[in-house]
Amino acid sequence: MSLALALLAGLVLVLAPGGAAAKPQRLVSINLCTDQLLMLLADRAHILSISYLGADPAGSALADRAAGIPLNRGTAEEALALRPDLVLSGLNRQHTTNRLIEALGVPVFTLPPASSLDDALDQIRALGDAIGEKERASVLAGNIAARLAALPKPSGETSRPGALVLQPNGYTTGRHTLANDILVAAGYRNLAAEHGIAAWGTLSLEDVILSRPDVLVLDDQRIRRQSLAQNLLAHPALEGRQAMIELPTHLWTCPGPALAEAAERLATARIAGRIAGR
Amino acid sequence: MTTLAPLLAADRRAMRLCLGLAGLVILLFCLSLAVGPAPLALFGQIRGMTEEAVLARAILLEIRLPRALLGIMVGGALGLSGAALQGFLRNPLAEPGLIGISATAALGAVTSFYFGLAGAFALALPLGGLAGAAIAVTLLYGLAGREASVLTLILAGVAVSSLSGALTALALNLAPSDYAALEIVFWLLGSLADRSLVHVWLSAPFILIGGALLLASARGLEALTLGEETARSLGISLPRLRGLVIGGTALAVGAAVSVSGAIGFVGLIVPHLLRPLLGHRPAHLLPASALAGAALIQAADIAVRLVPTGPELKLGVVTALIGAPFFLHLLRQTRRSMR
Repeated sequence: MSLALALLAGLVLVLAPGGAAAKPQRLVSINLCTDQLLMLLADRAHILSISYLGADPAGSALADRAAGIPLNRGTAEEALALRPDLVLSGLNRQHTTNRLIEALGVPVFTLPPASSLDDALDQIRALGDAIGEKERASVLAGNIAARLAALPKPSGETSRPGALVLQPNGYTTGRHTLANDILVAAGYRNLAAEHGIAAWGTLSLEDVILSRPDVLVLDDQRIRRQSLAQNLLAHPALEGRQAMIELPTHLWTCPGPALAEAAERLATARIAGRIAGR
Repeated sequence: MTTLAPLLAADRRAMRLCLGLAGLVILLFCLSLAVGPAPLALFGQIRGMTEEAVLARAILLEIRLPRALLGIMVGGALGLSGAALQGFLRNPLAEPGLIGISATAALGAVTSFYFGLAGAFALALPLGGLAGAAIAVTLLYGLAGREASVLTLILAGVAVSSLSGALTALALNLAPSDYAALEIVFWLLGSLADRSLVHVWLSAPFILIGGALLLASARGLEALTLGEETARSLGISLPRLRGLVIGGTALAVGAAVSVSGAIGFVGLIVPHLLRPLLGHRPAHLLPASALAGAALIQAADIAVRLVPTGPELKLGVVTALIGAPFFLHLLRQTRRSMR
């Protein structure tokens, strides 16, 4: 039944008059965040490949949608071999790969790391534009914004609890990060931003305790696998001092509907756990 | 022995030096408790139930105390085993880091830590380090022997050391955690940052027993300075002495490395700095080396906290910056005997 529907939908799409004349049909993504946006916005038939990160449940919020999509390891060679119309990639660490792909004549859409919620919503729309799915992108961005706006707010600024995101190795998210805006939308203050951390930074264990958080936001995978980085989060000095919320990091790594889910979980934890400011 | 015999001038000098070193260790211990990001003023009101007092106690007892205690234990283990190995192998360049014992201990600890063994059974961590150290000492003894030339031992150590380093990298790459591969720096260079009292309890029994065995070898090592025949005629059992040194080193270095990573050169620098002050008698050198090792690691650990680098420097960086030129200097001095 669903197969028949899918076939029908495919038929309708094929028959439908093309909106944008140059809508790319062969899309390859080599970056975790573009993997996820592609799975949300593009037709499955147009996705030739995504990176293996997009299919890994540890890092991708949409790993369950990746079944059946061929995976790549993010190299230019793999991407080019698929003869794509457009390659979707990240910016910073994939700079050399992108340059190489472009030099060989294939356009690359790059998605820089989102530094705010507005940024993330703009990126969703921009990627939609690039792959000819303007409508879907605009609906998706609108949905996320609406879910965030509907979150319950704390009674006043002073009652906002102070939250600190603590990731392996003591990494935390400062003012210009997606996580900052999600925390604020969910009714918290981001203590790392108040500590003067601009984007990403590390805090020593002493700094963490000294900032007197009302709540620590930790990844739910934090000590399931052994490493020194993850063991730090189980240090006895952190125990019993403040509330802890476990939130899978992949929910707020990339632009997408998972951002709204992250904010909803954080807001629910604040209200259910009666976490309040001091 | 020393305590029964009339106190000779050398004994008195050694006693004075040890007391001085013990004072230095205590001073550095207090300094280590005082240095960190939290302002000293916070510790003004450490008693009581105010929020500040609770905070101050947590920082002092759960973050800085483990660090200071581990500094003493790890430094003591490395200094003492360096002095004992130099006496036993009659080789001025013997040192747990240089001859690969620390690297193999790190391999053992890495294997038990990253693959869930230490998670299921906490003592697996020091036991892993211990097993690694024991394999390395036995291997080196078999490979180079007791009367080997300086060069043979060092070359055997280079082989053991680089093999263990490579296998550690392999193990970390195969480990289930994504973070593991990046943590080779800790295991190769060592650090005491963010350790907890759990690490102190895990390693202390092994380091203390290992240290006691090494100190007990002092009399045997002293006789050995007169040659094997003389030592035997003085009633020293060489197999027993071997057991004390190998077992003591495996326990002390294995447990130390499993909680702090491999910190090099301490066992080399310390006995050589002390010999001009103390002479060559192991009975004097061994306890003094333990104390000086503890002081050196604590000083290095205070230094890495004061140097304003982004992520904290690893301890092995500091000890290598001091130790490597020292090693080259020693190499120049002993060049004749290496031919």
